[in-house]
Amino acid sequence: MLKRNLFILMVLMYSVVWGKEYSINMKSGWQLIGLPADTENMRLFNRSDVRLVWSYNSEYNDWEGFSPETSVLSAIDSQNINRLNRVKRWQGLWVFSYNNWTLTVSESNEPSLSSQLLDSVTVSRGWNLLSIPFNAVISPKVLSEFKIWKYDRDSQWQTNRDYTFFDFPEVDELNSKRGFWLYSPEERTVDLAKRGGELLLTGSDDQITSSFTTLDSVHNHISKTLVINNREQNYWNWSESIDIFQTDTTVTDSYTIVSNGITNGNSGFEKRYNGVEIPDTIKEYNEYIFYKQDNSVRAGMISRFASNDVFTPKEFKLEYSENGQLKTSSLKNFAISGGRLISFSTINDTKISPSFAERCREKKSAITIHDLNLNPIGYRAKRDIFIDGEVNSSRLIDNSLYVITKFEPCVELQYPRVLLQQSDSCFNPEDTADYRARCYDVKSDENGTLYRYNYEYPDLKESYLTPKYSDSTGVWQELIKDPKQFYASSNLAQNSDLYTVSQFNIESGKLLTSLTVMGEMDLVKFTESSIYFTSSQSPHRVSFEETTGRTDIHKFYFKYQPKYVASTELNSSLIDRFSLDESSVDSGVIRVASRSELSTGDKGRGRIDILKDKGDGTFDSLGTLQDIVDYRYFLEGVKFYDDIAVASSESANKPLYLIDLSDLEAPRKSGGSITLNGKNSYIHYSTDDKRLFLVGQEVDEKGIDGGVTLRAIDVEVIDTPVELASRTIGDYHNFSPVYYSGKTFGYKDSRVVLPIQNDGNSYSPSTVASSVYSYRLESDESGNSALIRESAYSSDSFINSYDSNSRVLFMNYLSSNYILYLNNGKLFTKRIAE
Amino acid sequence: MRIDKQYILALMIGAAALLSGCNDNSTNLQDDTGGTEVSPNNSSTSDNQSPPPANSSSSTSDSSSDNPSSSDEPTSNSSDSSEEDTIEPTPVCEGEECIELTDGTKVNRAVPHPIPTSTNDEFPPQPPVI
Repeated sequence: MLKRNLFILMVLMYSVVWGKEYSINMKSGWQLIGLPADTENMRLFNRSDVRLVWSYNSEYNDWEGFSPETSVLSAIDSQNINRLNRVKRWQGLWVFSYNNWTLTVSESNEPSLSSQLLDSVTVSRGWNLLSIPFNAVISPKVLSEFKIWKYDRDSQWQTNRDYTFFDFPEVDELNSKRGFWLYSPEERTVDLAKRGGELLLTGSDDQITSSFTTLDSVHNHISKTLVINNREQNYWNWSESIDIFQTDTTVTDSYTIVSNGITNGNSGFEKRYNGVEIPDTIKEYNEYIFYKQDNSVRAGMISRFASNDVFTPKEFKLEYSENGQLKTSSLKNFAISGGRLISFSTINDTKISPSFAERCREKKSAITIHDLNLNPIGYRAKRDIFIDGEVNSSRLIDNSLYVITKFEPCVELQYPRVLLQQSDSCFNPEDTADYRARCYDVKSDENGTLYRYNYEYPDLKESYLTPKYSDSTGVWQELIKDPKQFYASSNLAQNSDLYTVSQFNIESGKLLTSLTVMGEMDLVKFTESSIYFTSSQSPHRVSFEETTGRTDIHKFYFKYQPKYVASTELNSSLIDRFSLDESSVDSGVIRVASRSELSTGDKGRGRIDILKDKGDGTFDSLGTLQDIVDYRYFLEGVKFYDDIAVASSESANKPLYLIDLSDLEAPRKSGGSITLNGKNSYIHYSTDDKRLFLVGQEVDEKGIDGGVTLRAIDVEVIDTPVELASRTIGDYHNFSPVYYSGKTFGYKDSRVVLPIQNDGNSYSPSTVASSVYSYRLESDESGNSALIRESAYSSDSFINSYDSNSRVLFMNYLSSNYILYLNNGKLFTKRIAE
Repeated sequence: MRIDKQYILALMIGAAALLSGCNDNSTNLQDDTGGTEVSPNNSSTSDNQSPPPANSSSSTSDSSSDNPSSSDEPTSNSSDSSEEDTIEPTPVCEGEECIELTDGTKVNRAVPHPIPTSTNDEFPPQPPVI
């Protein structure tokens, strides 16, 4: 309790005295702006720079004016116009300036932990003069139900309506530095932050599609997002913002966060679905074992592995060349289905003196489809597919290959020079803080001419925006073919990563469909028939820059004809890539683990939401479990397994919580928990017998490491988990690759298989040799269980290192059981006693 | 070219507003310069040069650092704007309706408006001229 209270106290103290200054470069003449902070200090519009300021009271359809000049102020009064005495950050302001100057506004005493959100603006019926009240850039397309006018670049008016006779340009963006007019047919509250996380869509119910109608509009949107995201720092000029008050930042507490099997990114095998083939580095197919060895797939007969023959497996070499020049490639994994071997490689396509486009396309993916011959193993034909970008994940279903690739568009910006007027005060250097604040970005050319770069409107010098692919025809083509299958959010200040799910026919090797989602995604989750994208780019705003978490979730179908399905948002942040899981009972239901998260660093106790896709573009909340961990701690991780979840707090020595998800409408924290007594690193759940296996390092009372611990826990009755057996393997010289890769852990038919290594430095009598060990979970007549050691590989020479491709595989041949262990491209086989 | 279109439309919208009784109390019916004011430094935008290295960010693919001196290459944007400038001269504000800026330029004292005098559901309101 003390820990958490100290932490909160520190944050509160900090927030009380916290404050920032923001600068806006004002231009001479009229300008329509917004301020980043509320202020009552009208003196910031000073007499030497400003003649007049207007704001509009939309509730009463009245103007409010201010001037630092007495005569102008009198003229305002004489016309019975209300004076403008304060400015809110959501207000748009017309400002008339005599010259270019820098407006500095303070955001002081901002209650950063306040529950009051700045997300929403209430607009009146009629015209409203607004500005975005927080640090964000939003596409005006997401406010298409309103008429919008904006006065901006080169003193031009922009609008979001098409006036046939006018050539007013389209509104480019809405941000907190600029004001804009908005016409609303009725009074309503608009959640601008929420709108910023929405996809640009059109239609309703199950007919919702992307709002993009032409490929030009797609390219323009990508290009605009690239420019806005890359101009960010200089455009805002708020990197110079300073703390007005600064507290001594002393660390009052530091949490000990170590891996406990939930909080680390250690996963086991991916969830399997009937009829869905997922690539890996080892596969059993027909009479053969296929496995990855460097840049090749090797295939050998099961019978020969079973008999430990010394033989050379068939090699499927995966090399790619252009004009006789071999490209640098790396095989990731492969899949086998329907008599075809499909491999996935990355290519680093570096060229000598590359063009801009070639530099942007250096990362490519190569997918090779081999039509297999069996007996003897070989292939009769093969087809290559190349795609710009890297493969994220893939699925093989029937005759279709679905592959998600991630491509990063490229842009090169040029910033025009803006010469300073002779009257500019920056021509007269002063050794003052004010001069430095005003003129820090002024540069001088060889003739002594002073200039600034125009960071507001950079020119696009070069760009390469969309990925290409080459299928079995060998011709490079655009991967984004249909603008209605391009989806992007209205948040323009984020990375423009393009995630494309492409469907290829594996018989012909040709592209059938593609769907692209653009944005800075936290999670891309491929399930049996759906893909989920989550983003945290539009959080709740509690001050101009401070936020609390919010997560946007978007669901798409990918099978047969890809389409948009639904979106929802959570007022919290997902924890990691394991935080979203589709229910194995109902594929329309997802379970999501999240926690509140302030940008100041404080986190919440966590929650699990059960959400059902309603079929009309939205999700329904079926059930929620809140405050998962003890009130003194915050939730650090959750992993979902079938109808249970295991959760942990940030503390290494606190128990793991078991959560019952069997009732979708009433998820509940069970009465049972699992106490940890060492450094747990991996948790494996067995669906068949509802057992949890924990692998970790033993730690004694003095904190000194011991051997590798293996525990088996029965969670069939989730409220009363029962530890069936445990054992310690070796001593502090030993550890297991399972700590780092759960894919080296195997469990089947009450048999546990795991590799153990020793550090090779020294040995004690209790140190065990590096090997793959097998244990059988057995019960005696009185019901007591134990993990009985069965066998180990005799040689430790092959196991003294491991790589990310290492795998354990169980194999049955002629009624005998075998363990296969793939390590560093070599495959080792061991028959297990019956 | 843009002025011509706007002028025609100003007349059309003004007529429509008069017919519908939606006219406002604005005084600058003859002012067709709204929305065409050009900031004094606009002419320098064709002088392009890559920015300092600090401007590059993660997804620019090393672009700015690879091309430190490409100031001679005009971009399509800048050539468009300079062409427009030659066709459409910078409007000059004269008379009492203008305010002189520090650099001597004169700017209309009325707040800019897309179609002067047309305040209705299509076009935003204008404050009084002070």
